[in-house]
Amino acid sequence: MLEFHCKWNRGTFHLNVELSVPTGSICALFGPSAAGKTTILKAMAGFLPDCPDASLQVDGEWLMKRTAGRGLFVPAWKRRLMYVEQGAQLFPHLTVAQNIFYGTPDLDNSHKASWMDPWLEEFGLRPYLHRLPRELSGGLVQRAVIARAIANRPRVLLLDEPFSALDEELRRVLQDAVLHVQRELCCTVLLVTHQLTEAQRMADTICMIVDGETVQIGKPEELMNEPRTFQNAQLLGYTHLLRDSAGRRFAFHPSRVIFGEHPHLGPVQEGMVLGQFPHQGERRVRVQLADGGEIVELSTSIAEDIQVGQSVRFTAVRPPYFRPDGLSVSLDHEPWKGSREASV
Amino acid sequence: MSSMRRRNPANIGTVGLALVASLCIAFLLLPLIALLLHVSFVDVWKQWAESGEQPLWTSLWTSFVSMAVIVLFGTPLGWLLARRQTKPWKITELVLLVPLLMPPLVIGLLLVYFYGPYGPIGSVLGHFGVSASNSSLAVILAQLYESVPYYVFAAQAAFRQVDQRLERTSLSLGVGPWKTFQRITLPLAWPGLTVGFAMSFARAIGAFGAVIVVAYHPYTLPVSIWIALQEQGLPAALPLALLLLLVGLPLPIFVFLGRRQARAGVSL
Repeated sequence: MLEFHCKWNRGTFHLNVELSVPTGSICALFGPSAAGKTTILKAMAGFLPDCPDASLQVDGEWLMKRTAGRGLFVPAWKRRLMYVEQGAQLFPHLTVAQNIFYGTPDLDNSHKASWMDPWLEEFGLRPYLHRLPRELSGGLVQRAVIARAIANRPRVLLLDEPFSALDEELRRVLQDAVLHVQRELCCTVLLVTHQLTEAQRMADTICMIVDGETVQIGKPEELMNEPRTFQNAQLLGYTHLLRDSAGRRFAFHPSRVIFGEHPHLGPVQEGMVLGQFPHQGERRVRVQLADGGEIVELSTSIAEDIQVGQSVRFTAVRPPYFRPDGLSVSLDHEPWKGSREASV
Repeated sequence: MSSMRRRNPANIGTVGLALVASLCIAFLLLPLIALLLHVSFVDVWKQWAESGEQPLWTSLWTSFVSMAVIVLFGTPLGWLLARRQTKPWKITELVLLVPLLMPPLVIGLLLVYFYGPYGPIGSVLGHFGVSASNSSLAVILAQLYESVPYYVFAAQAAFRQVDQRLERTSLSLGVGPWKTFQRITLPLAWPGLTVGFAMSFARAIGAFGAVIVVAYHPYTLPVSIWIALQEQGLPAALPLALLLLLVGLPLPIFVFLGRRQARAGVSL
């Protein structure tokens, strides 16, 4: 178990976070830019000695325990947590091999080669071990950065947007690599990201952080089904707050819809198609709602035959409901509520 | 690097710029070339043997001592100036500008006032039988005041351009701060540090204004050039000037060449 808390007010910057992550799981810190996600990782890694009120315990060992600026503070190089900063680079004056084994000077050559061997193979780094970083492509550099991070078997990996500078394809390859590493080494991973897809793909739990506060923690599935406030829902991709036939507010998500009337799944809406455009592998349709005139986008399969100007009915599938003040509310009597609980 | 650069077809802009550049170079180098062409080498040798040897050694050993002191204290100071952004360090930076901006002659006067036999420090030193005027110590002090800022500012710039993320990565990998400094910071700052060293050395060995005020004796090379010029005229002074160039310039030039090689080989 990794347990962390940090409270810090400095000028306009506030941080008030409590986290506990089970050993061997992946927790994504997800939130908009400047929410304080990076600061959290920095504090954990031990690069925020100024923070007066913080604590960190990993598997029962205290690494930080401070109140009012006093107390225990284990320096970064003794924490055995690996912090991979945003835009982390290799050491430019060392070869790839020297980079990867930089932190493992105690092991003799044969030993370190043997246990990292499969990883070097998997990351495709073997032919480049004696090259300098500037001779490598960006993707290889990122792989070498990950390889270096795991080379001395950290118990916790702190990854700050490790794939943000890469293209889609490469990002997926590296995400898989990290997932594989995590399963094999059974280390705890904290992953900072502002990309929902990345958080959902990688994480066991997602911790949503807004303005330095944890606003909601849960499994990716739970968050999507039950965002606690409409603000959270918006971060998760819900675009509009619409009203159903009874006048209650629910959050609308472009992908959580189905065409046609399916009242057992959720509230039915009606509108006119204004246009359409491709969106990743699907198609998005721009629809003006008959009730209120709001324009929403919704995803459809390309198999669906939809014409501009056509009038359509669609069902928002099991949407979260909200009170006028933006807090979520559960509607027990709705028919789809029961079916969801049955499915969970 | 230079091999990758393609020669553009000449246009008016490039020709103009090349003209300006060659004018600058001619302005800087022609006197030196004229000196080399007009000095008779028999005379040079005679003059060196007669009045060059003792000043040469004085200059060399004092400036090496100065450089040792500068590196010993200037490197950590440069690092602190690069990494500490708080007010006291900003003020230190400003204070370091003072010897850089002060005319050497004025530095010399201040040194005489402060370290001279009747000055606050000089009188204390006098009790121990040490003199900080007209002695090697005085020469070293004057050289220090003239050349310290060059090294410290170069070191500051060199350390500042080392990406701190690399240092944090090293720490996170379990390598302690001192080892991190040795393995990451120092190698990456090295080219900048050597340039600072070379510039500083050239200032130290060529220091004249402050040196002549506090230490007319023992003669350093710049001072003996001045004396030769005063007593025997230009023909006697030029060979000594050539000698000063020969010992003062090679180090900076080699460092510069080495740096280009290093850039082609290793750094970013």
